[in-house]
Amino acid sequence: MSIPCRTRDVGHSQRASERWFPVTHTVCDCDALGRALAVTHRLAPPITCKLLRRGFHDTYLLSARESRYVARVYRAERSGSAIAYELGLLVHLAGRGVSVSAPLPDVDGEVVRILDAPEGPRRVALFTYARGRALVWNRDESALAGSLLAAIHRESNDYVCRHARSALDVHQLIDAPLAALQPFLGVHSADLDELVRVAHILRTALAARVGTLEWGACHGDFNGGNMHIAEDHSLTAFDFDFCGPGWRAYDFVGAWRWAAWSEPGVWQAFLEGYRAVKPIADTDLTAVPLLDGVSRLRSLGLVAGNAPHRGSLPVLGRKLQRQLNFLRSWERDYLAAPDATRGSAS
Amino acid sequence: MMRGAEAIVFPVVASIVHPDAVAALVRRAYDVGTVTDCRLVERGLNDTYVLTTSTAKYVARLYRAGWRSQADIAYELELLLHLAANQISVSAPIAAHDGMLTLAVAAPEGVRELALFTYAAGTPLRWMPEHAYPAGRLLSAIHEATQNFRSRHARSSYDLENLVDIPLISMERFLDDRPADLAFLRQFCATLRAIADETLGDAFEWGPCHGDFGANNVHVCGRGVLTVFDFDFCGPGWRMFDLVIFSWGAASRNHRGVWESFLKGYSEIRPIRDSHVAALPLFQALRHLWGLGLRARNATQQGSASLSPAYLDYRIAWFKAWEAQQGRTGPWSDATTTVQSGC
Repeated sequence: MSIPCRTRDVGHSQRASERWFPVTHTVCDCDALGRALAVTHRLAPPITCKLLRRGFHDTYLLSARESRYVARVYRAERSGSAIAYELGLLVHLAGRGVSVSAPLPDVDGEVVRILDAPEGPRRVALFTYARGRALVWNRDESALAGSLLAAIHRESNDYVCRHARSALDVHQLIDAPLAALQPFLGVHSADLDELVRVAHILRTALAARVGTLEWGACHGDFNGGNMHIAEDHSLTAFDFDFCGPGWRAYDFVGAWRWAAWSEPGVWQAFLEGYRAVKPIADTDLTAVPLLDGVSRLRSLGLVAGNAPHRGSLPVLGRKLQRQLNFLRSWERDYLAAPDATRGSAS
Repeated sequence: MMRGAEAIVFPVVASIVHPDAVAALVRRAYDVGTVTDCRLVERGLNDTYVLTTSTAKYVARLYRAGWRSQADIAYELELLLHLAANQISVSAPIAAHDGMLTLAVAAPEGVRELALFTYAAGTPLRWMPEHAYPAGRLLSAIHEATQNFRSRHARSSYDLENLVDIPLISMERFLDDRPADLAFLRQFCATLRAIADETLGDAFEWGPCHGDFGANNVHVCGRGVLTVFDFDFCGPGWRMFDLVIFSWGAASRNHRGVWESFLKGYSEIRPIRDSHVAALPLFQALRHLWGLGLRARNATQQGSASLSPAYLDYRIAWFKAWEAQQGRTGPWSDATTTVQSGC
């Protein structure tokens, strides 16, 4: 019997596709990555590089003699133009003095390079390291986060990019997640019926408001885990992997959600911090509870869409039920008070 | 530009093999009917796929390259065949056409072994007495049936070197910037080893263990038919060690009677001494230490974020609390069960 399996010491003249079983994703060797980036970015030895996490993409912590960096190896299917939009936005923001973890140009002036992985070309970017620890949603740090978000929004108003990046619109936030979830729910399931019904509520409510909402570049995942606060209280935002043109109110969802679990005044402090830098209309703020529900549906869809890489188990079973329960409680709260502003938007 | 001089393609340490390739291999190498669907269900230390064929469902596991030795895997699969032959409901390995239980898959990072298993029907165990009781019986039956299990393949065991010494060595480089914690961990390991040396040994029965006997590795089908799977952490060890995972699950869910039902089920097949149950905190501490080492040893493939400062704070605090409590009460002098929560 012949099993199509060859060991790795086959001749190097063969193409990769003939040398290995087909793979959908790989994890790069951290030492090899460190060596490669040390050359392309002229980093001073000694270099150490370690894998931080396998997420949607793979993230590495790189230490050189004097500085630390974060390297992200994008998944093969993330398009070059989507990455160019993200990195361009970060370069633009850093140029305006906004505190973000920004991509560093290499010796050729490029901020992204292509790495020839077994599953196909993957893009790599090296970012400045965001010092400090994760944000805690207390009043002080919430105000800082509000100001930082406002700076990101204000300074990106004139960001122009010739690369297309999918907008955070109804399609991406509602329709695509629903489509990604369907294979996991079965055609005739009560869960699917419920999701379709909630999605309809979200879509209708959003359609009635979109004309009035501020639109522009968004972070897309502005939560406490994507900001680091240093000892001198300087705050740095990172992980713009979900960024794109969208409703600015969508970026308020993280603070809104956390404020519900934190000490009183956190939401108010966030708004004050924001408004100290840039105005935001009450019509935008009254849309935040709605976008909170949208964001929950989207999170579910992202997990479902990630199943080919992460496995379907995280989507199925109790996690799905827990997420559905979040959506149910959102619906209950939202229908009871669709314009809830926690007394703070006026 | 990113290519190293020595490789045509960038060197990698882990991969996810395409489900279609797994399906194609299984179709050719096994007699399982026509494969109609194959999907990745879990990406863990190993990767797990569920295959649906014209005749049944199967589970394919792709072992990580360079993680388990051939002997480790052979021990695991022999153990499963032994259990299946003893009427224990396990997800059992299936032989390929050529009689082999594993196939070598050439992945970019190196050779990975593939094994095909029967599918454990049902849904994960739930933390209630009605499920805990048969789960206790199941684990006890596994232990009972493996009393005389012998494999000619060596499998690394849960001895104190693997539970204490190696985890400490693996952890050292992750505590470079936490000298106080490193010093504490060294002292803690010495203390733990001294207690274990004195307490364990012949007084506690030794034999094959499942290694990860919790709710996620047992499926319940219909009215109380339980099937256990994922023996990837199996190996010779103190049998009490195998009760640790369940004790945590029972304690953290705050469901009355779960732990008691589990113990009742267990002791119906194999009597269990109160003094041994009272030693559970020792095995819990050993298991946490071993788990820490596991995270450290897998950081290159899985990421070091699993050893984040917050996690290290949490685990070190757990060890300190453990030490304070054991120091106060003295180990295992009384027969009451203390189940410490926190996994």
